[in-house]
This record gives sequence, structure tokens and C-alpha cells, in this order.
Amino acid sequence: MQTAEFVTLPFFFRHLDNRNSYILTNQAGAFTFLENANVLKNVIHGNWSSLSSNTLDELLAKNFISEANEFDARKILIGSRFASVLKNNITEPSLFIVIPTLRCHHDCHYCQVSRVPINKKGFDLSRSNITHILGIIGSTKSSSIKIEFQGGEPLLSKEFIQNFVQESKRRLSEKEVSFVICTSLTDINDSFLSWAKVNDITFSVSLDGHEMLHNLNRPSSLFNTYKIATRNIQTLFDSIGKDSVSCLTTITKDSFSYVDEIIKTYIDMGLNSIFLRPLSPFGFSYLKMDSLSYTAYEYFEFYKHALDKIIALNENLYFVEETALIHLNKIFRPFHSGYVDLRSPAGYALGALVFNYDGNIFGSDEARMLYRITHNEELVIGKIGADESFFNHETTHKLLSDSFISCTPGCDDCAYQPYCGADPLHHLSTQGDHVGNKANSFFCKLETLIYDHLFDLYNNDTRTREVFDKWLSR
Amino acid sequence: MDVSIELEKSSYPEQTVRKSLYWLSEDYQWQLNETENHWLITIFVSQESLEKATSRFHQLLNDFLLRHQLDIKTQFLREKIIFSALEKIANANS
Amino acid sequence: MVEPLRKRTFSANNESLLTGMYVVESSNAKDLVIPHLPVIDKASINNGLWSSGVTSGDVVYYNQSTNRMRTILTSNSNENTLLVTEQCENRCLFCSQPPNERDDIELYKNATLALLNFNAESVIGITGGEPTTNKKAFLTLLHQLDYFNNKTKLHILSHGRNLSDINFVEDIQKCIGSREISWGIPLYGHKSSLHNRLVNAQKAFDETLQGIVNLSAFGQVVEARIVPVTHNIHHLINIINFLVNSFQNIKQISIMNLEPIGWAKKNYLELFVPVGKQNVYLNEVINICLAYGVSIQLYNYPLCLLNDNLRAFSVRSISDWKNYYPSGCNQCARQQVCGGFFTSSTGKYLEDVEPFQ
Repeated sequence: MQTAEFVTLPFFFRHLDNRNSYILTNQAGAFTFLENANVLKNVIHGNWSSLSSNTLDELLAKNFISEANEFDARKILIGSRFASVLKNNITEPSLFIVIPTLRCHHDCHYCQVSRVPINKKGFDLSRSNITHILGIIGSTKSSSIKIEFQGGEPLLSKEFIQNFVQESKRRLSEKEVSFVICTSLTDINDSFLSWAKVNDITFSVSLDGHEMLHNLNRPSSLFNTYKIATRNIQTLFDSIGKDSVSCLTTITKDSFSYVDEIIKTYIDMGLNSIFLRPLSPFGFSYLKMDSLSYTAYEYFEFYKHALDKIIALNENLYFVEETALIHLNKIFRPFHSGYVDLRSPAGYALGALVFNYDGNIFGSDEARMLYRITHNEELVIGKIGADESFFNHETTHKLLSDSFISCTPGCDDCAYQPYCGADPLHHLSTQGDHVGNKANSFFCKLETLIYDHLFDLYNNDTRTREVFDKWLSR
Repeated sequence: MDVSIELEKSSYPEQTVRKSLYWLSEDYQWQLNETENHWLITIFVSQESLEKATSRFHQLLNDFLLRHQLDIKTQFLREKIIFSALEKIANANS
Repeated sequence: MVEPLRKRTFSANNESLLTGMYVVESSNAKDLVIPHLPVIDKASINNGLWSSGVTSGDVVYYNQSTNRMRTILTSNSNENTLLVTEQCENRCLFCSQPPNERDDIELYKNATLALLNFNAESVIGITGGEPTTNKKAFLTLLHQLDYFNNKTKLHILSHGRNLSDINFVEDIQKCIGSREISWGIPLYGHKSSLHNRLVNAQKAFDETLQGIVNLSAFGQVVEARIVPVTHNIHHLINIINFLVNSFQNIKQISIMNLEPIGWAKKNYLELFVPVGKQNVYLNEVINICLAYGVSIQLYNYPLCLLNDNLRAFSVRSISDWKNYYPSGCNQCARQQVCGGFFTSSTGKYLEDVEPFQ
């Protein structure tokens, strides 16, 4: 093939240790692979005659290089894609978390929210706040939103929830609203169930694994939490339908030995997805850092093992692992990724708002969790009922401006920059500042390991690629 | 057991060395000193980890040097891309 | 002489009719304030052709010297398109409607009249030549439709080059309002050396890309069209990768099998790639589209010639007035869902069929 003149366009790259090859990415979110360091050097130094025509065409197709007379057009393409993703992230909130109570009757060891016992007074949000909360939500521009009730145990405040949903139908009639209740389902009853069915409420329920593991992680002095959770999930399936419930696990050190049992529990329940999540450094996890914590490598070993099993299962049934799908969506559906926790700038106050039981407004769930422990007033964006303009709040601005990962040390060279995001609260909790030293960051290490693994699978395993394509089309 | 590595400043700019050391600190402790013409890096390792640490450091160094060379070549375009992106966002909001 | 599925031209019954456009007897309210076309009654058209070819409300064109009537817009068709000009800046090697430089503004005027007099329920295609070569005429058509409150949904087939002028795109946006509009833009290569060679025009690649980007700034949606020929078939994967990685407003990719008409006819043997040879390249790109969430459709591909896994993406799409089935298709079990061939694909241009049992 004739050696035409090409121009190298800006890109990121990363050495993939297990294959000794390189992954290249760019600001437009494209990715490709080069076999070794020599090929990479040839691309960077412009030794075009040393590169195969297949490689050159692949690099052209994905805007890593350009023919000599067209780089102006290509730079516009890259800039436009980058701008679109950025614009989607500089947005108004579409996720609203409402915490009617911090009371709970479970005794989960890792409680991320630092719950209080069910009889404790002073940890409930009064119904008189509903009007103000809906006023704030109503004034935001997003036309399609999600309202999530969390706690504590939100079903200890059923009337609050019902009043809220009722009033929102009036106050938010111009928006498309979906409601989710994050609950253990312990306090569900028939009348609430019928109400939930009529009002299209869905439920997010923790199911950490089989009975032994679930009860170990999430005990209660009052009942067998596994039996109640599984029984009530089944009741929801029967009366509302399978789509009404999604389940998630929080993985502890104890969970590591039970990959098969965890997966089997979900399959036997008839669930078609699982959300595997590590502990985050908030709540009791924060306080018990040494006894509960594990390294990113340790967690990833478990995660990889579980994911591989789940992928194999997909030969015969449809079963999604949600963490993998979130990351795949960042790669393949960059303009439709609704997940607020892996964004640049961060989804803090831009993607989500939290209305806490104590009347405080926070920019993220993690912020209210961290505030509970540290009482750092800077984390409070405003108070329900007061007249404030959020986006002028000093801490919010500082935190957000520190969360553009194309500018922060550690992230600015990273090949996964187009797909990753900032987690300022995680780093605030573990290292004391918004950015943190990424070489010592559980968050960064885990994200890197996950992206390394997903790209490796996608590029080298056809069967896995087909499973991922199926998940993406959901 | 420590390993000392000497690098010519003419071959390796400061950014390249510092970025490599930033990531090296994931696994090892180090110290950076300099003379007029050389960087002097000391990595604190045990005998068993010596080879692994050195190899890791050189891998990082090699990659960051390549990034430095790529940045020089594409600096001009990178700025244009960022500018055109910001312009697009500004226009969308006006 | 091959017979298409639906005739577009048929003999008329009324020799006193003048040459021109007419609306076939329509039950629409006549108090609509639009420039009306004269009405023609059923009796003017040959009886047997009434329901299959022409329906009340259709717009037709009658030529007195040949006594033939042709449908311009009809609710019987699966695909209504209006030719608004023959002018074009590109010179695609396989152009199906070779350009003509002359001033043909009357095509725009007739198209506008036809649209205003037709109660369109589905999308109407605007084609050429290049509809945007005469920017003023293009804007005028949009403006007129808007002025007379005509809500017709439009799909504009354009090379997109003139859309690189952001001011023009802004003007278009002003005329669109709430109208549903989409753009069908061809891209034949992932690099200028390939694309420009196939459209036979310098700067075409750059301008088309800029045009697509400008459309996205105004939230407009694009259907990218590719015609596989010998020059670019082995680059199909590169072209698809280019499309999914470079834009954010390409919602659909249409791969259009070559039609032996216009300039494609004279170069057909050098250009055309048998469907059997295309299969391996088409296979490679389906999964990329699936992963990136871009819908892909194959146009003008007879089902029997495609690989089994590609058939779901085939659209029964050849305009029914130029679509036919050779005799080998008579016993085929899937004739109803297959697109068949172009009436231009006779003789040496026809591939051998393999009817389904």
C-alpha cells in the first residue's frame, strides 16, 4: 500500500500487562489495541511505512490518525463528541433521594448510613417538608426524573412516602417520574403492596447471598432477615411482577468465599440481574476500616470470579451483572449513561440531590453518609424550607471544579479517562481531599482493574462479547 | 536493600520522572534527588522485589516518555479540540 | 419488459385534460387555505387501475401528449419521494440520478404544491440531485409548508456539504419549528482519499462531516447511507467504526445495495460486488452496530442471497414502482417479505436466485 502522509491525533494509551499490548483511547471515546510497544512507537513517531495498512485504516477509522488534508475535520469530530458528553454531565439533577427516617431494625455490620434503632426519636423527616421538597424538585429542568426513598428503613415511614407520591402527582405532573423504594421489605403489608402496584413503585432490595451469608452480613435481633427478604421478594413478584424488584449485594470479606452461593440464590429467586458492590468508606465501614476492609485487588479477585461465572451462565439464560453493564454503557453508550456516580465532572449536586431526615440538603448520598460521621458543615448544600441557590455554594463549586478528571493529576494521562469519573466523596473520606492520590486509591485501582478486564474480555473472547452485546441492548 | 537509578536529564524531562514515581508509589517507597545533569532515584525494596521494582519503574518511565513525545507532537491539536469543545458548549447554552 | 409491483404510470380516460398536476377526487375539506391543485375525478382514470394505483387524495401528473398519468404522491405507496432538483455538487461514480446544471426551480415549485395538496400521514422523502444546492429554494419550501400549516414529516436525502455553513443550518432550524425532520446522508469512506474518490469531488469529506456535526448542534438526527462497491467493500468495517465513533446524532446506518441505473449502469461491472461476496463484510459490522446501539438496515438485498443471520436486518424496501421478482421467485416461500430486485436489474445485472422452500 502506498505510504500517504498521516498526522498523529491526540490520544491516551495504557499498557495491558497480561497481554503485553496497548489500549489506545481518545477524547471522542474511541478505543483500539496495538500489539506491542514498537507499534505504539511507530504510531507516535509517525513511522507510517512500518505499519500495516490494516492498522493504519483502523487508526483512521477511529480518529487516532488523520490523512494530511483532513485533520481539521477530525479535530471537530473529536471536540464535538467530547463536548456532548461534557454537556450531558453539566446538567440539572435527575435523581432525587429522599430519606424519611434513619431508624432501622437491622443490625448490618457495614451499615453505610450509620442507622439508629427503631425507637429513637428525632431521626424522622416531618411530612410538612414535602411541599418544599417538591418545590425544589419541580423547579429543576430535567423532564424525566427518579425519586428514591432511602433510610434507615423507609418503610417505617409509609405514610410519609404515600403522601409524598400523592402530592408529587399534582406538583410534578409535567415530568416523567419513577419512584423507587430502597428497603429490606420487612415492613411491607398487603395494603401498601396494592398501593405500590397502582402507583408503579419499584423496589431495590439488598440480598447479600444465601441464608448463612445474608444473615451474617445483615443480622437483626428481631427476625431472620434472609427468610423475610426472600419471602417478601416472592410476594412482590406474585402480586406486582418480576420487574418491580431489583436486588443488590454488598460484598464483605465473608462474601468472598461464596461466589457460587450468591449467584445461585439470585437465580433460584428468579431474578435476572445482580448488582455486585464493594463496601464504600462511609458509615460503620468507615469506623471499622481495619476489620471490614479489603484491598481493591482482593475485591477484584472475587468480582472477576463472579463475573466469569455469570457470563458462562448467559449461555442458557439472561442474567446481567449491573456493575459490568454500567461500565459497558460508559464505553458503548456514552450519551445515554444515566449512572451519576462515575462522571466527570462528578454527579454531586449536578446529577443528584439528597433531602435528608434532618432537614439538610446534600449533593450526593455519600455526602450525607460522611456528614453523619464527620459533621462537616461544608457538605450541607442547603436546608429544606430555606431559600437558597445551590449552585453558588462555595463547597459545591470547589468540589465540582476539582472533579474534571481531564485536569486532575493521575487521571489526566489515563486511558480510561473518557469512560471513568470522579469520586470526590470517596477521596474526602479516605484521604482527606477531593482529588486524592490515585496511586493509593481503592476507587482508582478498582475502576482500572474493571476496565482492564472488560476490554480484555471484549477484545479476546467472542462468546463474552456476544453476552455483553446482549446486555447492552436491554 | 535499595536500588539506585541514574537518569540523564537530557533524556528524561522532570514531568516524565515525577509521573512515573507518582505511580510507583502504589507499591514502593522512593526518593528523588538530582545533580546538575542527572536524576537520582532510590527505590526502597527487599532483595526479592528488586528486579520487579526496577522493571516496573522502567515500564512506567518508558510509557511516560512516549506520552511526553506524543504530547509535544499533538499539543497544538489538543488545544484546538478542547477549545472547539468548550465553544460548542458555550454556544449551546446561549 | 419486466412488470413492477405497482404501476406509477397508466393511461387516462379524459382527453380534454390539460397537462399538469391534479389532485384525485378528495374528500378533504376545501376550505383549507392553500394554493389548490385542480381536482380530477375517478372517471378520468382507467377503471381497472383505480384502487391499486390511485386513491382519492393522491397527487398525479397528466401529460396530454402521451395521454399518460403518473402518481406523484400516493397513499398506496410504501415510499413517497419528491425530486426537487437535478443540481448537485458531487459526481458520485454510481449516481442514480445524474446531475444537470440547468435552472430547474419549477421542480421545487411543483414539489411544494404537491406537498401542500397531499394529506401526508407518513414520511415524505425529499431528493435530487442535491436539495440544498439552491439554499434559498430549500428554505422556501420549508417556509411555505410552515406558512400553510402543513405538518408533513420529511426525510431529506442530502450529501450534507452545504450544511457545513452553520448559518444555513441555523436558517433551516428556524423554518422547521415542530416539524419532524431527518436527514439521509451518504458516507462512502472513513478517509477523504476514499470518500472523495467515490463522490468524485474534493473537499466533500470534510464538508459532509462538518455538516453532520452542525446538524447535531441543533439536535437533528441523521441516517448514514453507504453503498458498497468494489472500492470500499473491504473497508466496510472501517466506515462503520468511523460512524459510531465520530458522531453523536447518527441513529441509523443504511447499507444500500447498488442499483444499476444512471452512472452506475455504465460502470456496473467494475463497481458491483455480488451479495455472496458482501456477506462476510456485512457480518463483521452487525455486531458493532448492536454494541453501540445504532440501528442497521440492509436495503435492496434479496433475502435468498444474504447470510441467514443478516436477513433480519433486510428491509423490504425497493420502491414498489421499480420493484419486481424474476420468474425464479415464483415458487419462493418468502416472496411476500423479500424486497426482490430493481426493474433495472435485468439481463447481465441480475443475480441468480435461490428460492426458499
